[in-house]
Amino acid sequence: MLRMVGAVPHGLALQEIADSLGLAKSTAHGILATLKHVGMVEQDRRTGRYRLPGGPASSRLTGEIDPHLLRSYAMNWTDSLAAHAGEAVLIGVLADTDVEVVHHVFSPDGTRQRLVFGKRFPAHATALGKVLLAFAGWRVPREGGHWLPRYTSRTVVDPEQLHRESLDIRARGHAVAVGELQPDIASVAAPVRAPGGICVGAVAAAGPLDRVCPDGRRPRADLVEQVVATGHAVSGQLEREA
Amino acid sequence: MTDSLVAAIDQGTTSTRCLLFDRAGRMVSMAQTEHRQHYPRPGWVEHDAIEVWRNVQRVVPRALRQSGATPSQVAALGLANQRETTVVWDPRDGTPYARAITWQDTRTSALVAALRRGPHAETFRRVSGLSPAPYFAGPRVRWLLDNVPGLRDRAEEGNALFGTMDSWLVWNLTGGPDGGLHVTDVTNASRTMLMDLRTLTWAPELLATLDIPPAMLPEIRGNADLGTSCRTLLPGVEIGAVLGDQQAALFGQTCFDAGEAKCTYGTGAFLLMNVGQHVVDSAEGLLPTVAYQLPGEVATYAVEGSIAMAGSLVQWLRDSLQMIDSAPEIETLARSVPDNGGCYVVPAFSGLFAPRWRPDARGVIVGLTSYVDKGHVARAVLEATAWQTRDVVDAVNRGSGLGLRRLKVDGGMTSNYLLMQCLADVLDVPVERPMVTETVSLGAAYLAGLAVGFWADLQDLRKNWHLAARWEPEMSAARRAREQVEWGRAVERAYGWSPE
Ligand SMILES: Nc1ncnc2c1ncn2[C@@H]1O[C@H](COP(=O)(O)OP(=O)(O)OP(=O)(O)O)[C@@H](O)[C@H]1O
Repeated sequence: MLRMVGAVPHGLALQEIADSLGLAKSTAHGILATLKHVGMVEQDRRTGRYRLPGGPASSRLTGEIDPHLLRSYAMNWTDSLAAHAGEAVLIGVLADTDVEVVHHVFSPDGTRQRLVFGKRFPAHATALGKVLLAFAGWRVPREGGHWLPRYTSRTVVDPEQLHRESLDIRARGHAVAVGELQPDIASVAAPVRAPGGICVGAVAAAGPLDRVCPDGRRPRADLVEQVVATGHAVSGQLEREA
Repeated sequence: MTDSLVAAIDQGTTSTRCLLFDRAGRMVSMAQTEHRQHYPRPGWVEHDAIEVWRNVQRVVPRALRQSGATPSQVAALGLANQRETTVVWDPRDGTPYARAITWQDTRTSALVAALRRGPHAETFRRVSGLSPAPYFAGPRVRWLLDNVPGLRDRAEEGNALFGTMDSWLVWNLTGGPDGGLHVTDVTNASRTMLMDLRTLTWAPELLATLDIPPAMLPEIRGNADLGTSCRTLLPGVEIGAVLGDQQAALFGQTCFDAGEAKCTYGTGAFLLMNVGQHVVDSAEGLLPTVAYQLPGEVATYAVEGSIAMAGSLVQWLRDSLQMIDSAPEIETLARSVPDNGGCYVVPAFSGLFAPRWRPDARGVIVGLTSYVDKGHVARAVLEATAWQTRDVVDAVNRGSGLGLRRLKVDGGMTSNYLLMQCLADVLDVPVERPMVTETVSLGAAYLAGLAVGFWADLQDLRKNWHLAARWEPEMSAARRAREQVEWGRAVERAYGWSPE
């Protein structure tokens, strides 16, 4: 619950917290009251939303696992994914509402590539980011007609639509972004979980849209399967090393 | 499908792994187990050879299970091993006479110092290519003969066999007491100080000097010339190749042409450059060594710069100083500061290896001021690996006449992006990480696969090498020059600290 609350700079409403965790509203309220009492969350006087004390600065989710440790555990698996999928592979962690790349494996397609590291991408326009948003229970504020930045004609800018997609991602276990940040790039991502099941990062395969999505809309089934399997494998590695 | 995979065993310093590879050279599965490090006295480092063999027996079935493969799908087995680690055992029941003395062990220092002063030092250098050093296996055999009661008699009778880890494992894989094959390969043998580097046979005059009974020695074979199969573990699977881990990494990185080099960053760091079909005698503090020998071909040679401490310095920060919880977290600590703050760490814990070979040096941390915090020390620790590599690269460039244009890297430390950038910066050449970082296993698999025709030729293998990441030099020439001078001064401070 804390992690979920912490993931959202503006805080979450009681209903949203209860929904995302599948708890009765009264149960969620009881837990929040306790957390508030011991000072682990605070409630905004004006909006009634719950958030972590100290404001947005403390809302980084990346403290969950050292990103360099994550990379080290993931490296053999991500190399293997890149080799088998034939696409570039990225690992990202949530940093505010961006996703920060902590690991990059080049695609073996023979093209010249540059290492992407420490770079941030808007979470709502990338598969990596969508996984992190969905599994961190993040929710874009519904009210206020607040639309998200648009990058291509396919960027999902409606918070409501993004929220529905998040529920879908949680159910399916992977996220897809097709030309939503750059028109000709598509990516597929899956969660990486720490022991206990908390999502601490995401792994993605990304490449030219026509290669990732031969039909122009949906990614290859085998690619999705490989990405999800890699997410599991890295999570398993974290479990073994814990 | 039959014969769809090649298996590799990497019997390393800290752990034993088994990896399976497919025809495209992609890793299909991996299992790994660590073994205990024994430190019975300062400078002594031992492994239990029985434990190591047991770990091999554990990781192979686990790797198979993970991939869902059966032994019948395995076309060949390749074995790569930590080099110079010395085992002497009783062939009647497979019991080691002592724990294995590892390559990091310095107990033969006195023996070696005497050799270096004596009349034969030059003979060792001329014949084996190696100046006597505690690093090599030969003096360890002599130490065991002198210190294990009754061993010399057993050895003369043929009841004590010597081998590096490869020999020990092949002997066990091929039946052990029940007809196990007692062999080694040209790369491992080239690290004993006992082999003639040009004829690739045991050198009688060197054996006589060290007073080692020839009856103990394994037969030397080419890397892919064992022509034997496993009797246990993977029954019927051909042991296609055996070679030392660093040579395996060179092969796995597909450095098949003269001038191509790789550096593996694990416990220590090992830079090898392929120098072609002739021995490059090294006046630069580098070791001439066999790179590999393919069936029916002459040997390909390499020069090697060994760095004793790389990852192990990070481990020291973790275990002895407890500044970090895990090795990779050194990067977080090091990134908390923009530079080393004037601090340098020279990790001469057991002297300095290539290219300086100063057994009298000991570790120092210099440049301390109240400004220096643990972030600076963490950075200095990583930079120590980069600068040690620079020293080796300079020596390689001088000694081989082949200028290094890029460095292929592998090993556990390549997951450290800050270190990789630092390397590119201080070497002033691009640093490239291949898609399979487990190049030791890959090299063993490649050679084994070649031996049984799973892969056709070297060109076939070269196609499998893919770039996973590349770091370009970003440091200014002026800063590089300044820091190189500072590093050199720090190293001078380390000299002569040990009374030996
Ligand atoms: N991200 C990292 N940053 C710094 N050092 C690291 C990092 N990851 C691993 N290391 C260091 O690398 C070493 C482990 O690497 P690796 O597993 O390749 O080596 P190894 O133990 O030499 O292998 P082997 O057992 O095969 O000889 C350890 O000494 C560890 O401290």
